[in-house]
Amino acid sequence: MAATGDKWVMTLKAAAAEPAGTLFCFPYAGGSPETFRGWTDGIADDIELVCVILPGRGRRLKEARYDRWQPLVDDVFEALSPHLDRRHAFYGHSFGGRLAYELSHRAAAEYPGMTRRLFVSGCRSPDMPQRRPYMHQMTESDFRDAVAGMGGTPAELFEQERLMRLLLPTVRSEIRLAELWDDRHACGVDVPITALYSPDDPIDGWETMRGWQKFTQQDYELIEAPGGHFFVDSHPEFVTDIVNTRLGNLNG
Amino acid sequence: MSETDNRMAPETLQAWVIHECKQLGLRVASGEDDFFEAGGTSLTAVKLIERAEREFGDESLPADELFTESRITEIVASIQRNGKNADAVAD
Repeated sequence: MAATGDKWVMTLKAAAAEPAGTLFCFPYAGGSPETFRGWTDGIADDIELVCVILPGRGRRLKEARYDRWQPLVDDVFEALSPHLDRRHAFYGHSFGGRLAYELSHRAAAEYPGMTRRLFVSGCRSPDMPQRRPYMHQMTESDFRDAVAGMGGTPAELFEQERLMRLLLPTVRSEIRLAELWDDRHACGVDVPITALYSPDDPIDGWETMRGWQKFTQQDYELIEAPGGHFFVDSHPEFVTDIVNTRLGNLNG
Repeated sequence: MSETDNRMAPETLQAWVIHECKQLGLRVASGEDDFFEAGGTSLTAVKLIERAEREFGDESLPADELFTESRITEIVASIQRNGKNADAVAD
């Protein structure tokens, strides 16, 4: 695929002639479109699959990272706005789940009825306390150990010192945002929520995800997924099946 | 290698980069294709850097250049700037 002009989004799968809608995907801290590229075989043909690309990774490696939520949400919303007047949904995992929730608030206010569903996975609800100690306050070597312990980073990467020095600051800054995130809205979002958790997720499982029920004014479901924290990588078929059946509503 | 070694000629080098990217499972066909949009990841970036260094010497494809200038033609230019022209040992 040739390079496209919009640095904020990468289309991973174009929809068929009559698209039901667009699914905007938000990776975990330091994550890449690779997670969602693994979904292209499983996602329904009438859903356009798009990954949101934040600064500090891939071609945006050298761009300044965000250290506060408000400008991050403002800028992502502005970047996605040209696409939000059509039917769409959001999927976010871990840090990306928090961002997807914030975007749902903005999109539902500006483009009523167009945000058909919010999928959050591996992500505590806004009212649940963050695990301590904070990873973003750890020393460099403790932080590396903690990232390695999470399990999402291939071991080969840790052997590439120069590359780790390029990539880890983004992981740390996005983990910092994730850890400092809390409830910043008077009420839940006016969008149905599907929350997915893994019982084997040591970071955010059932205990810290069941609270999502309180953060939507529409219908809500909490689904158990196989795998650990990174089930979006390890179990793409499970996740795309859930997404496909729920986004059948996009047609309605 | 002899002085007739022309591995650093742009066309030859571009063919090499495209070949290596395909070996890594990326969907690239032309110089305008982008490494990351074609499926490149941090891990495939590491592998491409290793292969470039094996072929063209240490630091022949610096990671920060690959990440920020990731079209095939830009990768070719980076290797041309940073790589060694000939392999003295094999002469």
